[in-house]
Amino acid sequence: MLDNFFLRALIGCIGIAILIGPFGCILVWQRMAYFGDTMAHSSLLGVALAFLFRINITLSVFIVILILAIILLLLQEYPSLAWDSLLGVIAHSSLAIALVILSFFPWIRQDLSLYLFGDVLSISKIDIMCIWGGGSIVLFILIKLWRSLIATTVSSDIAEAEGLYPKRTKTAFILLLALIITIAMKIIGILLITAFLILPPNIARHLSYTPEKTAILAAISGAISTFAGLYFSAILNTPSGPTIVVTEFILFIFSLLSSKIVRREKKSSTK
Amino acid sequence: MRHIHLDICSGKILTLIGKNGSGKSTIAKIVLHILQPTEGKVERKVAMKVGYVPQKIKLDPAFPLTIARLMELTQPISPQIIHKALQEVNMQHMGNVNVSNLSGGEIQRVLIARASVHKPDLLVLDEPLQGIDFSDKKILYNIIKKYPERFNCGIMLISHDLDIALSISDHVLYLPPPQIFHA
Repeated sequence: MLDNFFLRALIGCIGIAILIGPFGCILVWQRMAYFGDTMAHSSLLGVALAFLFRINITLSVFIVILILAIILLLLQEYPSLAWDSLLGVIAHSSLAIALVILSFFPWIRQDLSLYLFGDVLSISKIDIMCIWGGGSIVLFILIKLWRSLIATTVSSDIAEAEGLYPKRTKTAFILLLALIITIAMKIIGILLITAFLILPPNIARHLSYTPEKTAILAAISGAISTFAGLYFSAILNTPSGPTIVVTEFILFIFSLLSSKIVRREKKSSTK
Repeated sequence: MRHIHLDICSGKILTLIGKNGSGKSTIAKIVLHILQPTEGKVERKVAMKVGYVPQKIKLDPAFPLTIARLMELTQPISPQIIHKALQEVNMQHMGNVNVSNLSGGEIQRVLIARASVHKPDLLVLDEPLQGIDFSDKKILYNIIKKYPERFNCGIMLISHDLDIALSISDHVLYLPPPQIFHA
């Protein structure tokens, strides 16, 4: 069954969409969307260093984005540093360093677009096993961390005072996020991972009132847009990753408009 | 801050007063183990349950959090207990309302109710009634006043409402204005 490349793409991408939805929610609620973007951009540095030192690309990407994320988390403790500027500095500097390093390897240039925009149709059976097997473990750990993550989003002081461990939770969350970005990079692409992280929570936010329901809806809306996006990309012969993102954007517009209409109707019925 | 020694006893209310920047919130955070003292130590009863009401919370408007969900933020609580706690602060009809739709005063009411639901041994209230009008303040201070007896808990209260706060306190600690030490 998995011999069909389109079916493999569908199963793999839906797995990633389900996995990424709840993570995107936490990033959006904690106003860390640009943090996710920085981690994604830094992953190209991991690719470049893998070529430079001839090591495994996946391992190199994971280590690089994890180290940069932990450095950023430590720097977040210093209020004198402008957080958004710092993210910009790290994101673009790491991207620039990566491009400089990669310029020494002219034979990779044609493969660069693979890392920047991904290739959903290159998903192998092993990738599917990694996504669904590893993803299940990651989701299980996320469920265990969920209460602490939500409490930390409301107030890390309340969470700490009442016996939770917000710093430990955040570090574990960043570790899992680094793992997901590493898995998703080859498939979705460095430039589109942030869209996969941010769009589904923003679709779901208009349709739900609790963090848990929003996370589930984000996963479902991500899976639906992936299915529809892949279908349209096959019919229209357009690149798969960007088509999925465009589908997510259209769903976002629909959810935004529908929530406004529902709100207006509620107001008029109460008058 | 130097040479601070204080005990918070169960069944009593200790109120910290002082000017802005005198270190009231810092002491509260040290007691709560959020901050570590540079010298000295904080001793706690074993397995002590703590409730905390911060000065304010900042939430992203996109964060979908109902009042009922906020009540069980750090641990699961039964709906009956949540309803009863909200009833006390006159917010029982708003359990399904999103927190981002509340005024600052309403959020503080909910935070007071939330901190008491799991029957804490120590309740730290850092200017809990900011943004609440005078008549409601009196009602809420009367609710806070009953907590030590109801839960056999100790309360550390930080307040600028000297007249009402002092009338419900068992002990008062005045913190002098901050001193700047030049190296």
